[in-house]
Order: sequence, then structure tokens, then C-alpha cells
Amino acid sequence: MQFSAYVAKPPERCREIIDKQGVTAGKGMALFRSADAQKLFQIMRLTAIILLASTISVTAKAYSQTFSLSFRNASLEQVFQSIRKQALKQQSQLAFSYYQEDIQGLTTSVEIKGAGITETLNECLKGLPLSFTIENNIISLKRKSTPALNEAQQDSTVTVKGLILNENNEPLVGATVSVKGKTLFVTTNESGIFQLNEILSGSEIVISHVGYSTEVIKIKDKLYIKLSLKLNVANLQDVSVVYNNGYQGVAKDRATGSYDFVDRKLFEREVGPDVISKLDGIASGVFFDKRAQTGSLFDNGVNINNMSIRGISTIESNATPLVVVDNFPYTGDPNNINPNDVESITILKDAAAASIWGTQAGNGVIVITTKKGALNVPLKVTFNANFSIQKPSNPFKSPNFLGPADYVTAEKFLFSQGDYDGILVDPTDPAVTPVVEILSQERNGTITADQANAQIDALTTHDVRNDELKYFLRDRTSQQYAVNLAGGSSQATYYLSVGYDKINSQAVADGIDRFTINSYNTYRPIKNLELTGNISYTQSNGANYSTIGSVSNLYPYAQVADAQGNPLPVVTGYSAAFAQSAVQNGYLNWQDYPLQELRDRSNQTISKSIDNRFVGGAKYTFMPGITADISYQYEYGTSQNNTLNTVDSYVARNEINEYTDFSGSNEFPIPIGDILNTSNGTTLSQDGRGQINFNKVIGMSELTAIGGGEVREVKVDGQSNILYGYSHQLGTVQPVDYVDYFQLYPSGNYQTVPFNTQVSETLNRFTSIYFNGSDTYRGRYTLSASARKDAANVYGVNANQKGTPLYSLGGGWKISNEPFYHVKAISFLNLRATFGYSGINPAAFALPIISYSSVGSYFTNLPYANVSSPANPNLIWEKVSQINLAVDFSSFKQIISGSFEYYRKHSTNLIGPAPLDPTTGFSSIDENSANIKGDGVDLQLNTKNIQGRVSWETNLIISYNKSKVTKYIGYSYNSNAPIASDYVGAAQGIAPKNGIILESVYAYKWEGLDPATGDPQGYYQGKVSKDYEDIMNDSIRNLVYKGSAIPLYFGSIRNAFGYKGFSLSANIAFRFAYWFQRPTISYSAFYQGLEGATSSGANIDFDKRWQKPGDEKLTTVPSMNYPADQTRDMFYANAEPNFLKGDNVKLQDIRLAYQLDNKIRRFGFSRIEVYGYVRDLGVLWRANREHLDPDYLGIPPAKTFSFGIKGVF
Amino acid sequence: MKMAIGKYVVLLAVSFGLVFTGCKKYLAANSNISNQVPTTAGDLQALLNRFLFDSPTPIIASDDYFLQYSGWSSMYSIFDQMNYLWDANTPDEGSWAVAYNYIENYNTVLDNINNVSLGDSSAGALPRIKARALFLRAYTFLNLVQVYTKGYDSATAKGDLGICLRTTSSATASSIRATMEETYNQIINDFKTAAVSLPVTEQFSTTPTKVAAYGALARVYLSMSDFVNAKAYADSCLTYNSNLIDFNTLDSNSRYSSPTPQLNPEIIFYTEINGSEVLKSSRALVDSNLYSSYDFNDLRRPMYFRSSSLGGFTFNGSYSHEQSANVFDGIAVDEIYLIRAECEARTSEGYLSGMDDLNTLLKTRWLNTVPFPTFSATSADDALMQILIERRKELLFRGQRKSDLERNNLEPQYAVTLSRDLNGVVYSLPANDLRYAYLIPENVIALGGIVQNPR
Repeated sequence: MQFSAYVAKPPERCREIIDKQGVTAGKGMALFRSADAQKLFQIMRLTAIILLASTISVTAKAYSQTFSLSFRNASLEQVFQSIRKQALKQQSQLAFSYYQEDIQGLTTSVEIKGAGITETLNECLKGLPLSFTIENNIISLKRKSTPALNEAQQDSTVTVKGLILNENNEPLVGATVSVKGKTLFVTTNESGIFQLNEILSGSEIVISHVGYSTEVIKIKDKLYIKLSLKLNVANLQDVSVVYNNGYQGVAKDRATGSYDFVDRKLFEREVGPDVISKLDGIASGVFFDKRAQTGSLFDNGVNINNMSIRGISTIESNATPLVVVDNFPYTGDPNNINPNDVESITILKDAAAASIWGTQAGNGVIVITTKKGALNVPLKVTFNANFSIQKPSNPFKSPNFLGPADYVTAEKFLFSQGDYDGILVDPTDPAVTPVVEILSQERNGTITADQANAQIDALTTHDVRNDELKYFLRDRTSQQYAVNLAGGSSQATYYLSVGYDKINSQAVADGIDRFTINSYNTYRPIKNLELTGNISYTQSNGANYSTIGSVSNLYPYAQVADAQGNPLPVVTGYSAAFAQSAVQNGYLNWQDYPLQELRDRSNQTISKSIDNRFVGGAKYTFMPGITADISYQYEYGTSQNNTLNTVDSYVARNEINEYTDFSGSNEFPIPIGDILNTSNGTTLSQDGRGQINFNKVIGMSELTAIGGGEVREVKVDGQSNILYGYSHQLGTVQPVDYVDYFQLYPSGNYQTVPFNTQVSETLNRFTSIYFNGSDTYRGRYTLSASARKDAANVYGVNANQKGTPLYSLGGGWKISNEPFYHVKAISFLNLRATFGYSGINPAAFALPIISYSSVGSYFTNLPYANVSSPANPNLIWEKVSQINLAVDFSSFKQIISGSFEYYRKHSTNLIGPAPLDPTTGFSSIDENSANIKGDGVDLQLNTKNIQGRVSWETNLIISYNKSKVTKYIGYSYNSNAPIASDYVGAAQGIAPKNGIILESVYAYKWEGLDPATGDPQGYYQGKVSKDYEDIMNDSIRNLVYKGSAIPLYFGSIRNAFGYKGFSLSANIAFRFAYWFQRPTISYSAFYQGLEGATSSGANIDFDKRWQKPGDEKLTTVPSMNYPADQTRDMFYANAEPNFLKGDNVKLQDIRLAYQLDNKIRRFGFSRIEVYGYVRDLGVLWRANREHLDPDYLGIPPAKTFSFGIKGVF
Repeated sequence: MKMAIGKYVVLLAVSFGLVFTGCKKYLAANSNISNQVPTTAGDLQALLNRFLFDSPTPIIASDDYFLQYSGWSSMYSIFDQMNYLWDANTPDEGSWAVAYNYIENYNTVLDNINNVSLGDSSAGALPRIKARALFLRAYTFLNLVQVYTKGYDSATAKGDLGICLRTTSSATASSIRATMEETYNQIINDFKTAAVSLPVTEQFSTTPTKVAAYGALARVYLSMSDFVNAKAYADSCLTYNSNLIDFNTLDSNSRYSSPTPQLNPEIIFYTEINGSEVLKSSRALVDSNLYSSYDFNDLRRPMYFRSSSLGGFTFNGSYSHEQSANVFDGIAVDEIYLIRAECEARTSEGYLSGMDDLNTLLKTRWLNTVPFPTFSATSADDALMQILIERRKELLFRGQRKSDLERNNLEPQYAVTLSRDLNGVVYSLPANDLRYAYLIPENVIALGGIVQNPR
């Protein structure tokens, strides 16, 4: 709680900080008298609920202080400083408020002892043309005017106080309040409150704030003003931005490190249920690798696991950035955070910014700051509701599925080659597609060729993808509702929010919902003590029905329903004849009815996750600028996954039947009943922290420092279980013989009943001490330093290496504040440079570790262990060093502003596998064996193209990152020297190699198809070759290097337009300089799919295959060969034709909103916004001619349309 | 001001001190319950409880089966395809690393045996655990010998290439190929040392026993053609366990005839080979001449074989409970009877007792509704020939064939040339060919700096 008041020249002339002691030392609350407060309350709505009358009275301690001074011809500044210090020693703060020009060059001689403040000041100012007033410990000095005028003024002066709010009716900090025609300024404090003394009645006061439209108000009487400033649509980079690094707030203008700040407006632009995916395309240096899209319905595969900040920093260890909520690492699933609770997000990118998080920061840190209440603000209710809809993925667009005609062609071919002969007579009756059955009957002479063709033709008029669309897929919809209440009295603040999100997946019967409650309260029971309590609760429930996936993998002419929509059986697992005869042999029905299962929900996974978080903290202010706080976080999350296969499900019937052999003695060892698979996990994390904060202005220096220690523990438990003979109605299970072996039918294998009870437990402990400090001198030069030492129970690492010390240094220079700086066009220019280290949590062990298997030994079920890694006691922690050089700039009136950052990252001691003679028992050993060097640039450019009634603003983000492996000795597990096949491809996590980009794309050199056979041809030893084995084992030097698998350049350009209440913005994302590998046909995989009566391994390239001489001029897809040759398939899949340039530009989203303002005030709303949002509008440009989206090699997502309303009252 | 700062520096220091008091203990907590430094006898026993899978190569390399072209070409592994044809330049990629990983476990047990506490275990546990580790290591060494070396020839054993006798868990120790003599000495000594401390019976037949050690020694001595010692250990083994299953008690009409392994009284030590797609019953067929050599009243005929849709017959008779490719290759009583019978026949005055042993075995294999045609021999050679034929017929798919071939090939009268016919192309493996010793994987040669098998 601080108050700032100072008198200054207009900014363009005021280059000297006059005296900011007042800013840090003033007592804002003390200014607020109860009389004024009462007046304030009358104005405010709904105050009765929360506000308590202010009981704090002014204690003008300064009047009881005594001062001793002894100066001779000293400058007034010197004298004032001495007075302040003496006041401080007597537990009081004094602020001097004056106009620099007024005291310029004035000196005084004074000699007093034990005098009161008034006497002291009179003595000091004796003979000088200055007068002073003291109010609320602020000593205001001004030039003496002519007595007549002075009197006239005094007669009609008033004191103006007020509260300035932002567009959301929250206190606006740092708004400038000035008197028109005068040079008197004050700024609003943390509670948005200001006070102007001795204003001539009738003056106009001007209230302004960067990013807001300026208001002018005429003063008539002593007055209280409450005013909401309107957001200037052409909003600017906010100069009063405070970055939160999780330990402290860092004022943007004094920060040396590299932070990326996403404010609420930008964050809330996108409609979505999760937090992390919203950072895609709006934060610089943040990249989402969309090749591996695994995630929940909340994030659609864009989540923390495929996110990287400034490139990849590690090889084997955990590569995900650290997520921090407010002050503590967030252990749970980030999808449990309600995005409507997020105030802002700070991304810590370089060492100076992130090093405070030590060994957890090597991959960057995302600090999520949640919304909170504020002191002396009335209750404000904010709500947001929206609805989104998206068409389902069209299975006809899948490249990995072949229609009935092609599939039958392949089946006939394999049949003619005798491939099915073994399967058709296999005593275990494996699944055979209807077409193969028909072909077999034709061959046996049971039916004629004409009959066979007619039957096949009839079958193949059906396409299972139509069934999928008709019965299994639907429009995906999602709904979001959020309400929050925020406000505060003079002693307490509160924030309470409730959120509900519900997603109905495109898969019929699948969906997830999430309910969140979050409260954040602060309370000041006594002076100087602030208590904080934050409780949040998230519960999410999901349902997943697994048959949809298997339907899309069926043979393409499978029919799941008849014309009337009655479920039909499909062939899976066993031949149709076998499955049909099961019932008459005493077994349960062995046929698979996917549609019936969907309708009965007989194969459903219900997941439930609960996340509780409690944060408590206490902060005590010992004296202004010195505080100490302790805080504690307790986070407890549980997750539960229950897969219930009812006795009607194919899975359960199959398992029950399999264990039954009527010819043997085992009849239903798995009882006839439901089978319930349960798995539970709990995560308990506890964090404790003690910290001392130091914040002082000493002379011309603004010193900020923190130091502290913390302890952190994360305990993860897991359990899983299978229950047989489960009855949902009775809640009972039946005992099962897990010990005896049963001979399975029809496979004949001996097996015990699956037991699958697993228990796991991990415990990670960390202790740290840290220090972080910065000093800004004369408002121009900033120096920062940090140091941290981390230790962890990384089991096995030698004790003396358990700790790792890390540090950072940084400097900043605000050139535009220099007296010599006169470049008008660039009104703000700031240089920053940092260097430092952060670390990465190791994932390797150094002592001989035996690893217990969670299941019993094969055959005996005895507990067993294995030596899981060879001993390496020399392992040390991975380190990431980073140099960051940056320039921030802004033009006159901030029409153009932005920043340019260059960084060099060097990850050393990376733990990776080094090849080992397998005779040791291991093929590799974990060593500190790798280094990565990355260079990059982050550029941000914001322009205000048009301002006024119509506004147009552009934000451009461009990031460049190129990470090279500078050392790597761990080659593939099977060979000592890298061979070509280890490096081809563009899959994630390909083997790194010295001197190349971390994820490089290599391809086999291509020499077209053999005109005679349609075989793919490559090169071996400089000659055209079809010896794929040799080509694959060749040196990697003979591969064709394509480039990076990750875009070297990426970013986005966002244009925002405003007109009256309308705002329209569009975000275009681009990714350049990279390559991707498209999927193609692998005959060996396809044949395996065909043999199993599934569509797996299919690919539409089959259609383009070489079929006759001459085709090699038209296609690169090899001919269908028999038997399939895996090496031929692998060669072709990784040959040049299947690598394409990934460069693309996409229209990521468009948002249109309309804000209703004053018209709705009389209904109690202060603001309402209705908005529409469309995402994934499509690819605007792409380098590949095949019309492929490198992010989605399967089915690209359809557009999502969202509509919503949000408002405040 | 200075004083004030000083005060807080002290406070800071105290709080740091608090954080790090007891830090060592706090950070000593185990991070994952699955990960343990072996500290108790139970931990060491757990390292031995991992099921031992043997290399399939001794069976793949043998003439117990053959593939048709369609079966051969439908295999996805080029290594399997090449190894089936005894390709001179294809190394056995898998067996080495798998076997030495087991050996690393056993060496970890042996290296830590004196450093662990008893924990929950009884007082006698540690010597028994040590004996088990020695047994399992020797057994795994023996399996490696069967893949990567040629047969034991006492005339050249001092100079022949053996395997790497790794006896330490340290990853930094270098690898050296021992001679065949050293290799066999190590294996024999380990088995002998183990036999002293091993109990006669165990709950599970996967746990080594004294009987198993004697059986293994009989096997080792036989492969060295040391018939005196082989007979002595076979004797000792059979003293403890001479159970034979009467095949008449099995249901040959059952779709699957093999008795479950735990219930099989013949089993002395249970191991399986690591299944290979080469040996899948849908692919691997048995030679029709071999099949027809079984008498109609020989119950092994219906028990061991079933007709295959591919034409001919496929093997069905493993003591393994897996019908697929994981066949039993452990030690069983029938094998020990055959070892003793052969040794007796090899020593001229004992061939009649050899025939007695053979009859004891075959009686249990014969249909009991017809009179058993007692086998008799006119000479030691006759006896030996009959015993060797029955050994071949009894121990089909048991992993002993390659070793038998190597041993017998040293005697010209028993030497055979193996051949594979693939789509009309005949690949053959003459007696004593260098290819009996499979190539060691290239990375082992390069990283371990050891000598490759000659070609």
C-alpha cells in the first residue's frame, strides 16, 4: 500500500527524478479519513456487503519527531535527505514533494538540535523563496508568490480526492492527475486513489493514463471524484507493467531480463477452456510442436508437453517448461486451471528472468497470475459465457484409410499369393474378412466365380466411413460459464470465482466437464501484517467410449448396422463362423456389435480428477521497504480412471470366453459379469518458503533485493486394479483364481487370469536458497544479479553433487533518459544485456539401481527386479547458460513500439546415452555426454496505424531459433557408429548428431522407380541401387540433408480494428524454414492389417502405386510386391519424395466483439461485451503442392465457431 | 540503516540455516519405490526372480524344423530370414545383449552378497542366493556358448574361442574372449560350487536346485564328450528325481495335449526360449521322415505333433505352456535318462544298462494297451545308434540339437550335413562348418574390442 505524490515538470522536460522517496515511503491509507470514506461509500453501489468503515486514523508522527541538523552551504537535497533519514530512524516516513526547478541551486546553512519538524523546516528555508505545507507526512514545497495572489488563492482552494478505475471498474494504478495550466501532478496509488491539495476552485483537472482516453473535470468545490477511464482502443504497451516471476514483482522499466507479458485483454481474446493452448501465436519465442498431438479434450493436443520456450534445451530429461501459479509451481494438470481466473501470464525466457527458479527453469517458466480483489473497491461481479461448435473430423479426409475398392484389390492380390492360406486353416480361427471368405469359397468350388463377384460387389457398395459419420460422430460443442466476485475493504480483499466448462466430443458419448471454485483473500489484522489465503478446487469428469477408434480401423466395407439402423456384428478377433458358433457351444456370444455397445455404453471409461490447492501466506512489514514473508502451498490432486466393460461388451465377453475351455476343465474361471479396470493416482505437493524483501531508495539508487529459502516435496502415488464379476447394481465383485494357469480357447496358450495390480510411488524433494537483487541508478542504469543453490533427492547422485549453484547477471541502460539523448523520433530507448545459468532436473541415476517390476515375474508371479541402469557416479546436473541482448524502443506517442532480443543458449552436461559394449549388460550408459547450442531472435513490433474514432493496430511477433548439437556421443542402441537408418525421417526425437540442427531431416537419395518393376531406387556407393539393406546401413554422409524438422522462423501478425463499440481482430500465424514427412503406404504394414482384417497400415498412396511400365514417370509410389519387403518400405518412406517443405501461413482466428457501454448502466451493468470467435480458419499459403497441413498429417480440424457474452456489474 | 540491514542479514542467515538443517536426511529419501539400491537379501533374490529366457538360436539353427517359402518370406525380420539360412555374414543380433543383461543381474547379486542385510530373510538365505546366482550365471554362459562358439573339442579347446566370462557387475571392466577350455572350466566350477549350497527342492521349478545343478553338469560334460563325468552327474541327478510322465495318462485327443509345466513331474529346471517368429507353429514344420519314424504305438506321435494346414506336421509337444514359439528348453528327467543311456553305451561294458535306461523312458511313451516292444541291442554301437535316434526323437525342440550335432560331427560316422530348401535353392551347412558359431554383433566387436568368430 503506497501512495505517490510528487510535483514534477511536464514529462518532456522532466528528466531528473526529483525525489521518489515519497513514492515508496508515503502512507496512502493514512490519507484516507473516515469522513471521506463515508462520502465514498455513499457513491458506491453494494458497498454494505463488504466494506467496513475505515478505522485507521492519521497519526502525524512527524510532528512528534525531533531533528538535529548541521549543514553549511549545503544543497537543499542533501538537507532533505538527512531529515528523511532521521525521520526513518524514528519509525516515521517523510516525503518531500517539490518541483526541481524551484530548489535548483539553492543552498542553506542550518544548525539545530532536537527541533520539531516545523521548526526544522523554517530554519532550513530561512531566507529562501520557498514555502512549505505538511500534510500526511508529505512536505510540499513551493515558490513563494506575491502575497496578494497567495491570499486570494488560499481563500478559494480546495482539496480534491478521488478514485480512478479502469474499464473493468478496478483501481487504476499510476494514472496521472494534473491541474490544467499548472505543473502540479499526482499519480494514483495501488488502490487507484489520489489527492490534490490546494487547487483553485474552478480549475480543470486532467486525468490520464497510458492506454486510456484522457478525461477533464472542472472543480467547483472540495470534492471527491470517482471516475472510470475508458480504454483507448488503440491500447499501448503499458509502461506500468509489473512482471511477476513467482517470487516478486519486477517493474518492467527496471527489468534486465527477458520476459514476455500476456495481459488479460490479449489472453481473453481467444475462446477456449484451457490456459496453455491460448499462448499459441500470442507469446514470442513460444513454440508448440503440433506433430505429436496427445492431450485431453480441453487442449486438443496443444499443451505443456509439446511446448518449448526458445528452443529445446535438453535431450533426455524433462523438456517441459515450469508452470507457476502465483507463487508456487503447479504440480497438477494445467488443464485444471480455469482461464477465466487468469489475470496475466508472464513467460520467463532468459537466465536473468528465470534463474530465480534455478534447476527447474532451464526450459523456461510460465508464471500465471490469477485475478484478485483490491482494497477499497466495491463488489464487482464479472461473468463470461460462451458456446462453441465444430464439425467432426471427416473420415473421408483421412489419408490413412482406403475405400472398399482398393482394399478388395489388395485382398484379392494377397489371396492369389496364398497369403491367407495359413490363416484360413489356422485352428485358432483368426478373423478373416467377408471378402476373403468368399474368395476361399470360390476356390473350394462352393460358389462360382460369378457368384463370388456378385457377393463381393454387393459387400463393397457399403463404406464404413458413412456409418462412422452417421452413428459414431457428431458436432463437437463446448460451453463455458464463469462468474467471479471481487472487491475489498480497507483491511481485506476478496476474490471468489466459479466456473463450469463442458465439452461434448465429436465422438458420440464422449465428453468432459470441469467445475472450478477459486477464492483468493487477503486480510490485514494488524498494521504491517498481511495474511493471504487462496483455496481452489477443480473437479473434472470425463467419459470416453473406446469403440469409435476401433470402428475407424475396421475393414472398409464393414457394416455396423442394417438399413433400419439395427446393430450388426463385424468381424474382429475371430472368424465369423467361429464367433457365430460360440453360443451353441456354451460360450457367451462371441460376436462384436460396435453400434450396440455404443448404444449400451457397455465399454466406457469414466475419468474423474480433483485438484485442491491451498496457499497461505503472511507478510510482515518491518519498516518501509523491508518485508518478510512466509508462504506455504499444499496441493492435492487425485485422478481416477474406471473402465467398465459390462458383460455385454465384446471385451468382457471375449475375455470370459477365452478362459473357458469346455473340452478342458476350466469353465468360466473369469466369472460371467462386468469387468472393471480401475486406476487411481494421487499427487501431493507441499512447498514452503521464507523470504525477505528489501526495497529502498538510497540516494539516487533504487535498490530491490529478495533472499530466501524454500523446501518442496512432490509425492505421486498410483494404483491400478482389475475387478471381475463386478456388479454395478450390487456393488459386488467375485473372487478369481489368479494362481493357476488356464489353457485359453482357442489359442491354446496357458495363462493366469490378468491380475494387473500395480502400485507406484515417487517422491521428489528439493531444497533451495536464493537471492535476487537489482539496483537502478538515476533511473537510467540498472544492474541485476541473482544466485541460487538447488539440491534434490536425485537418488544415486553422489551427495556432494546433489546441490548445484546457479547465478545470473544483468544490466540495463535507459538511453532515452540520458541528458544527451535528443532523438525525438524514438522517445524511448532501452538496452538490456544478461547472462546466467539455469538448470534442468536430471532423469538419470548414478548408483547401481535395481528397479522392481510392478508386476510379478512371468510364470511364477514372484516379485522381481532388474538392474535398470549401469552405475555412473560421475553424473552432474545439466546446465543451461544464456546470453540475452535486447533493445526496447518506442516512437513519439508510441505509434511504433517494440523490442528486439537476441539470445544464445548453451546447454551443457546434457545427460544422454553413450554407447556401451553390450557385454557389460547394457547397450548404453547415461553420461553427461551432450551439448546443445542455440541462437535465436525474438522480435516484437506494435504499431498504431490509425487512432481516433476508427482505430487500427498491428502486433507482429517473429521468433527465430536454431539449436545445434555441438556434442553427442550416444548413437543408436544397436550400432556403434551412426548409420543412415538411424537418422532418416522427421519423427520427433530422432537421434541427435554433432554439428547438425537438433531435429534434422535427412532423406535417402532418390532415383525414381525401376521402370521394369516399380521398385524404389536409391544410391549406394555412388551407383543406383535397390539393395535397401546396404543403403540403410550406409554412412549418413550419403543421405540428403533437408533441413530442420522444427520451423526456424515462426510467429504471428495480429491486426485489431476498432470503431465505436466494435472491435475486430484477426491473428495470422506463420511457420517457415522446416520440413515434414508425409505418411505413405508401407506394404508390409498394410499386409499385416489385411491379414488381421483391419485397415491399419492403409494409405491413399496405394492408389498412386506403380502398376505398369511408364507409371514411373507419373508416380513415386512403389509397386505392390509380394512378399512385402520391410526394408523396401522403410527405404521408400524415408526417401526424398516423402519429405516436403513445411512452410505455411494460417489464419489462426478472428474475433469480433461489440461492447455496450453507457446504455446498459441503468440495468446495473457497467460493461457488457458480446463476441464471436472463429478458429482454425485454414491455411492461407503453404509451400507444399500436395495441399497438406504439416501440423495435421491425419485429418485436419474443422473450423470452430464460438459465441459469447461477458460483462461486469 | 546499517544496523537494520545487519539485523535482517542475520535473520536471513537463520532462516537459511533452518532450511538446511537435516537437509541431508531429507534429501536421502528414495525418489521412486521401484528404484532401489540393493540393500537386503530380498533385493538380491528379486534380481534372481526375473524369468530366464534363453536364446532361440540353438533351435533356429537346428534341423528340428523347416520353413516353406511362404512362411520364410512372411517373416518381418531380415535377421531371422538370414539366420535361418545360416548366412555367413549375418550376426545373431539379439542373443548376446539379452544374455549379458541377465549376467549383469547375477553379477550384481554376487558383488553385493557380502554387503546386504538379511532383512526379512532367514539366516541361510545368503549362501543359497549366492548359489542360485552362480547357477543362473553358468546356465546363461552355457546358453551363450551354444550360440556363439563352435562345439567343444578337447583337442583344440585350449586355443578355441570361447565367450566373454564376465564375472563383475562393473561396467568399466573390459571384455575378453576366454578360450573354450576356460569357458567350460568356469561353467563347471560355477555349477559345482552352486550344487553344494542349493537345496534339493524348491517351490517353483524356475528356481535352481541341487538336482538341476547335477543335471546341468551332466549336460555340460556330455557336450564336452566327457562321458564319465556326464554319467556320474546324470546318476546323481536321477537319484533325486527319476519321475517320468506316463504319456498314457495324457489326453492325446485333447486339442492341446501338453501338460501344464508346474504339474509336469519330469521338469527339473524350467526355462523357455525367447519366442521367435521363425518357430511359430503356423510356420515351422517338422520333417515328414522324422515324423514317420515314430512308431504308431509311440504316444509321442500324437502328443508331439499335429497336422498343419500348410501340409505336413507342426510341433505341439513342448512342456511349455505356450503353444506358440516359446518352447521349453530347460532340464527334464527324460533328457537325463538319455544322457546316462548314451554315456553307458559309449563305455563298452555298460551298453546294456544304457538300453535299460532307454526302455525305462520309452515305456512311459508307449501305448499301454499293446505290449511294449522292449528295445535291445547287439553291440555298444548298435545301442548307441538307437539311443542317439531316440534322443533326437525325444528332445525335439528342446534346444539341445545344435549341441548334439556339434558333438557328433566330430565323429565322422555320426557327422551330418544340414540343408534347407527354399524355393528350390538349397542351402547347406556341412559338419564342423565355421557357421556353427554365429557372428557376434558388430557393436560388441567394435566397442568391446573382442575377436569376431572366423569365417
